[in-house]
Amino acid sequence: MWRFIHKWGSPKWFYTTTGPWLPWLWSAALILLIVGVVWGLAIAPPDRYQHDSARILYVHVPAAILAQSCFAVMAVSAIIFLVWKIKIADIAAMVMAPFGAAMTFAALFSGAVWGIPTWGTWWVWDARLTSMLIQLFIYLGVIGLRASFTSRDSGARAAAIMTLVGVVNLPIIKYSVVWWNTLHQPATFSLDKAPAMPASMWLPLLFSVLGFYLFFAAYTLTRTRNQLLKREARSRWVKEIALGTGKAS
Amino acid sequence: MTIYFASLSDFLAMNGYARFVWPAFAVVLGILLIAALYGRYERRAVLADIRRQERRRQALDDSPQRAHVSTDSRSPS
Repeated sequence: MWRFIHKWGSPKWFYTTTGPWLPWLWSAALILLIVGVVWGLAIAPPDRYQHDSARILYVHVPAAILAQSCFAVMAVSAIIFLVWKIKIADIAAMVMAPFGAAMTFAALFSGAVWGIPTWGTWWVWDARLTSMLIQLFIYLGVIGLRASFTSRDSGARAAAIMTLVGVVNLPIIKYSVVWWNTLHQPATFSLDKAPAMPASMWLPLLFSVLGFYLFFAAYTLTRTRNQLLKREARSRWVKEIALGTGKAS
Repeated sequence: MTIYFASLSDFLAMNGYARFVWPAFAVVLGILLIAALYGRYERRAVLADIRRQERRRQALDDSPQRAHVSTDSRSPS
């Protein structure tokens, strides 16, 4: 366990090991996204009541799932950073925050646009929508808090602690459609029940969700490696990469 | 597994829901595109910055009047 943690905590080892994964991650993400989006837009049948507006589902649901998963991964990174002082975990949390905020915005925006034809309004102060809006503010708070410190270490610790506090909003979002009366429909996917929609609709959605997850992994790894180079700019292996003199790429 | 729409114009019209479906897809997928492009841009910018710093350091080390303090410029700040 300790050897494992130390190996992954080593910037050079992390950088050179994950390098070959990137082209595979990006290509797999692109393929799954194209399959999910094209299938959802052109092949899947329209909804009986919502007609073709229901196709928004194929970007709305993955964005909303990622908005929450991203924050959960940030919380795990925050624990790893606070307990073991591994800076790669902090860098990962730092680059994930704007992505999570963007996904939360994407879910709110696509939901608002979808709400006009189906609910007759783009916004209601409903439990699900309000808890997602709070999630957006939590993301912005974590980003802002980190930026407000002149010392990088203090900012990193403050952001990690705020992330752990903000985690309480995740179960609130998840169970908001169960605990309160809401306009929003209940969860699309669950681990213990068969989907409530036909395969012609949940299958493209599954591709789309997996595509978003892989995109998230590829984006986070790419930017974590970039920021790692920036922070390690003075070490020899980074200079070799920048100047093209070493064997590592 | 057949295309649901009869023609391209049907597809673009989304049976009257075009003004909801297309903006939603454009914004969500646009965010992904920006995120992917930013990752590429950031890598280039970081590497260019390291190269620039390294060239400046080497220029300082090579200049004769600074030769006697060259060890200082190498020490991490």
